Amino acid sequence: MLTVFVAHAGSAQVLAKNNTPEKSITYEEMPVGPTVYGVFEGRSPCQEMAKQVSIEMTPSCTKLKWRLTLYVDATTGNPTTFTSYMGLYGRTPHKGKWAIRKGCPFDKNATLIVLDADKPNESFTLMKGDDNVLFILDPQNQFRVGTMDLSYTLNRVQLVKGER
Amino acid sequence: MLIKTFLTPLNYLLLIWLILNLQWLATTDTSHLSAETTFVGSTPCSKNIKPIRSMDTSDCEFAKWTIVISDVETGKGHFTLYCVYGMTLPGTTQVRNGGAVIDLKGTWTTEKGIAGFPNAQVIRLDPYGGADPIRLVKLNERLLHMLDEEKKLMIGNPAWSYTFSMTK
Repeated sequence: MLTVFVAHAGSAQVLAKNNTPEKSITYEEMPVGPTVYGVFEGRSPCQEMAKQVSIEMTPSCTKLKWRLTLYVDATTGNPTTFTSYMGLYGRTPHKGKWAIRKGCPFDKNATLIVLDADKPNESFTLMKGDDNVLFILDPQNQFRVGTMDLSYTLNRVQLVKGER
Repeated sequence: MLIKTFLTPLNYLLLIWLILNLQWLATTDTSHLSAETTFVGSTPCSKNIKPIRSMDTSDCEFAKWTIVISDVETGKGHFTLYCVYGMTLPGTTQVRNGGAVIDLKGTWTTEKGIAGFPNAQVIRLDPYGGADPIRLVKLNERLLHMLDEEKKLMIGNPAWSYTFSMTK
C-alpha cells in the first residue's frame, strides 16, 4: 500500500552523531591492528569498471560489490598494500600496492588513493572525500556519474565477524 | 481563386491570426524559461538516519531520491524533491509494497564551504513551510553529495551511498 507523507514541517539534516560508519559482516579473517587504515565498501556499475582494466564481464554483470581494505605501515602511517574484493578478478581477492598522490584536473589539492600504482593497466584511482568517503575516478581522474541504483562512492565500514 | 472560394471573411481573419501567432512563436525568446537539472540516487535509511525528519524510518532499509533543481547555473531557484523509501524487494531495485513517499517543494540557494573544503559549493534546499534545510555539496556539475548537520559528507553503507547523479 502506498503511503504518502507531504512534509510541511519538521527538521532535516542528519545529526552528526548518527553519521558514523555502519557495520558490515565478514566471514573472512578480520583485518585488525595498527596496519589497517580502513575498510571501504560500496556498489558500483560493473561494465564501466571492467572496461577500464580490459576485463570482459558477461552482460549479466550489472554491479560490483566492493570491499577495499587499505593497509599502512604501523610506524610511519605510509601506504603499503591493499586487498580488494570486487568481482572483477573472480572470487579471489586482488592484492597490490597503493600510493597517495596529490591533485587532479578539478582540484589541485585533492588527495588521491591510487591502487596498483606500479601497474598502470590495472590501476584504479579514488579521491578522498574525507576519512570515511572515497570516490572512484575515471582514467582521466574525473568523477564518474552513477545511476539511481548505483554510485561510484565507497564508504568506510566497521567489520564484524559473522557466524555461519 | 481557390482560397477566395473557401474562405469566408471570418475564416480569412482566423487564418491571418494563426499565421501571425505562428510567427510570434518562432521568434519568442525562451531563454527566460528555467533549465531544470535532475539528480537521482539511492541512499540508506534507518531509524537514526532520517535526512528528512518527518520520515517514518522505523521500518526502512533504503530510499530512492529524485531531486529536480531549476536554474542550476544561476545560484538560486526552485526545487522539487521526491523520495520513496522502505524495505527492499529481493531481486529488484524497488521498494517493497511501494514504500512511503516524501514530496517536497521549495527554494534553493548556494553556500560556501564544508568541513575540510572551504571553497566547496553547497546547494541548500529550503522546503516550503519552514522545515529545516537540506544541504548537498556540489562535487561537479553532475554530482551532489548529501551533508550532515555539521556539513560533513554523509557516510553510506555497503549497499548505498549519499551521492546523487545527474540524469538526462
